[in-house]
Amino acid sequence: MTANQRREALDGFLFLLPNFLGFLIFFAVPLVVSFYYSFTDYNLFQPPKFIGLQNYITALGFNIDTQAYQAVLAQGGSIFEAIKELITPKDPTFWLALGNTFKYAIGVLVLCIMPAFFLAWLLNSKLRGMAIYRGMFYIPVVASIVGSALVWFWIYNRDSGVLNITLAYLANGLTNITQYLGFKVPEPLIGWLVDSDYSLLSLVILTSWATIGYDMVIFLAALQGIPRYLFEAATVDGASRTYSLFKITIPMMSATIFFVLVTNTIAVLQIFSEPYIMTQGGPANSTLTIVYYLYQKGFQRFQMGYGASLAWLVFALIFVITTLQFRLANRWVYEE
Amino acid sequence: MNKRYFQIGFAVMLIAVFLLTACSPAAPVATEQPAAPVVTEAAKEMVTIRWRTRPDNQQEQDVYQKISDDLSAQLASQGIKLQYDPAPVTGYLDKLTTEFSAGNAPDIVWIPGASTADYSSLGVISDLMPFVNKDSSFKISDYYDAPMKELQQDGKLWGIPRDISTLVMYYNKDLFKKYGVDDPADLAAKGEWTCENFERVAKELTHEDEKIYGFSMSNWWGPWGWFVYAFGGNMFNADRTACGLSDPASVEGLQFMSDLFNADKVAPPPGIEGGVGETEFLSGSIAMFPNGRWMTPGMRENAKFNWAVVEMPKCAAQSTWLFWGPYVMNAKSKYPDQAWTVLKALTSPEVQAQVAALGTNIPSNKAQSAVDAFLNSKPPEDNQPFIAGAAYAQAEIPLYTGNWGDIVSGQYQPNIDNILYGKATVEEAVKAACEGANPLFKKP
Repeated sequence: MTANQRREALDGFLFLLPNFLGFLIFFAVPLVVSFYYSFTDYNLFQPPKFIGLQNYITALGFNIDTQAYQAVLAQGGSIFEAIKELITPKDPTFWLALGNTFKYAIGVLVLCIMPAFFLAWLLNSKLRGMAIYRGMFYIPVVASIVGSALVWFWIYNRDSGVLNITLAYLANGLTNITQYLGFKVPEPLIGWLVDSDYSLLSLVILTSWATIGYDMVIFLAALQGIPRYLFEAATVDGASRTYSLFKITIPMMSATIFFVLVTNTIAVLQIFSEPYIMTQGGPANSTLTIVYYLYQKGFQRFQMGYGASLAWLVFALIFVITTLQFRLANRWVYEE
Repeated sequence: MNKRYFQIGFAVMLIAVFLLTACSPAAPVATEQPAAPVVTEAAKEMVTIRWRTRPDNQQEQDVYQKISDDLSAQLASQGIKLQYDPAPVTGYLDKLTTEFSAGNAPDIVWIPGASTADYSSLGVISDLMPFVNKDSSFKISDYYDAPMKELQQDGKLWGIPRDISTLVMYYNKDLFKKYGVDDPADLAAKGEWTCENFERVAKELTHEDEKIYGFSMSNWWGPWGWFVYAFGGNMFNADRTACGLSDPASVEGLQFMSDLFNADKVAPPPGIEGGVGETEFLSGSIAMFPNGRWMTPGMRENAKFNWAVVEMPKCAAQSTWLFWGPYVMNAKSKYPDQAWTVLKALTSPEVQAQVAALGTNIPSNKAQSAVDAFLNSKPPEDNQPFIAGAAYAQAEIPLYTGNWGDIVSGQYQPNIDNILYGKATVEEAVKAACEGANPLFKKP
């Protein structure tokens, strides 16, 4: 390396330094420290004490209670009921939160990616005013989740929310028809945010609404990148629009679909703001997600060591799922 | 070469700016500052005591600021200056916890009563008993007994209550009049404000076709806990080392609550804390709504109907909550003696009267001057129900034998949700709540 090259290298490193320091102080160091804390009983105030794998065992471990097992069988309970008593998780709330997070993720992926793709497909035309439509669908992405939540609180209100009012209007409309058959369609009075049967779904809808515009823009860009000659050739060969969709559009966009799938999965498995603002994990823990749970443990219940271990478990989970997605990608993602 | 020096200089400057802004020290806990008006030798030794409350609105914040300024002037001769550092309601405890952890929490802070146990067990707040013992001008007996008892643990005193509030029943007088239903205040005057009559009037007031309900409540431990105590039950066992919800009296109380929601259907499902129920009551579609004094300013500002308050109805037992929140002292305060002087001043009758005049708080100091200021803060026309309940109330419980968040929020609340939304019977819910909670108590 010449003196000039060394000088240039030094210049480069100096320019990198501010960003590198930022990365080190606000990301790398906390990351390493949180990994250490996950093996301690750190409570935020007293010096952490090393407890080995105890936090991970608490989260992932199970208790075996043979006495309870025998008791259920003695009372005439089924073998399934007995096993349920025999093996119980050490921290049932962790598994509940994990289950909620998976349901949440699946719901958002289904309600977000497919409609976003369809929307992009619809908006990929040259009609007048299309830019306005595209802008409208993108607005939720730039809106703050706190502001959006206020609007959705009103939409979801059980007695005066626009959603229930609309459903009641539809029910009354249907009753106009069904009354001739001798029955009324009951007015739905759904507690969207306060009934544990609907609360998670309500948050899934909100998250999907807030994300769909972003995915749509990505899909739209990919759609516009598909060479026109492929469609022209298909048309010449007599392919219908639907056939072109499945045989040209989707395969040509598979890499983009994969990108959206992976990024959305990573984001939604870390969902926090929606349950924090809208439901605080309730009712009956029905919207308690894993990241909200680790926040509760770490910051509200002073169990930062345990919270840190949950954070690392979330990381491991996302890592495994993303790796799996990459492995499976070979089977369906087409790349030129 | 010049270019090269420029590049290096620029990079170094960037780093310096970055470090200086990102790593600038947080506000000091208590710092020596010169007094503003005249710089004298004495003024140079002034110490600043930073203190914090959680004002609900600007008006309340202004009153606290004025108190801070007035006390600063009064205590200047003792070398003390106050710095009021309010924090918003949302995330109040999260912010405070982070500050305690980082070592830059204020010298004096207000916290909710139930949080006292958490902070004392973590060693971040000071025992005030040594200050009380050497200060003849301070008397524990000047304050309501129940919170003072809850604030003491093994001879230690963890704080001085800033204010108290009982749980009372707010009611919409116009709805009672519209449907010709007995006014609770009249029933109370005759000694007939019982749970039977409460249930009866709630049914008479409910007109589901008009979306009018007799009763509603916010969904947190205060309102549902009242049902437990009103029937002679308890959230915990006697020494607070186990769950008390499976006690027959507790079950009876929760069953009464469940029936209001699920059998009588006199109440819509409650929302999350401070949520749906309160909004609907303010909108005029709920006739009765239990809450503390903190709801009064909102009622004055937003309620478009005539309203009043009455004590909670008498069930198997006459009960209500006595909510309280203390000022506590940061264990890392650099100036504990001065902080004690300020803390004592903040809980004096004179200061409490100023806050009480706002209507938000009931003074924790029993001095008549402070109580009178509260009673004269109208509407409601009759403030006596807020005071009357203090005689028989169950004080808000700091759980020294376990983590409140893990036990009450983590185990009790989800199962109470299931009762309220008809997803589980009371027996199923209390069984699940107690099975989940019992291993979490510290055993003696």
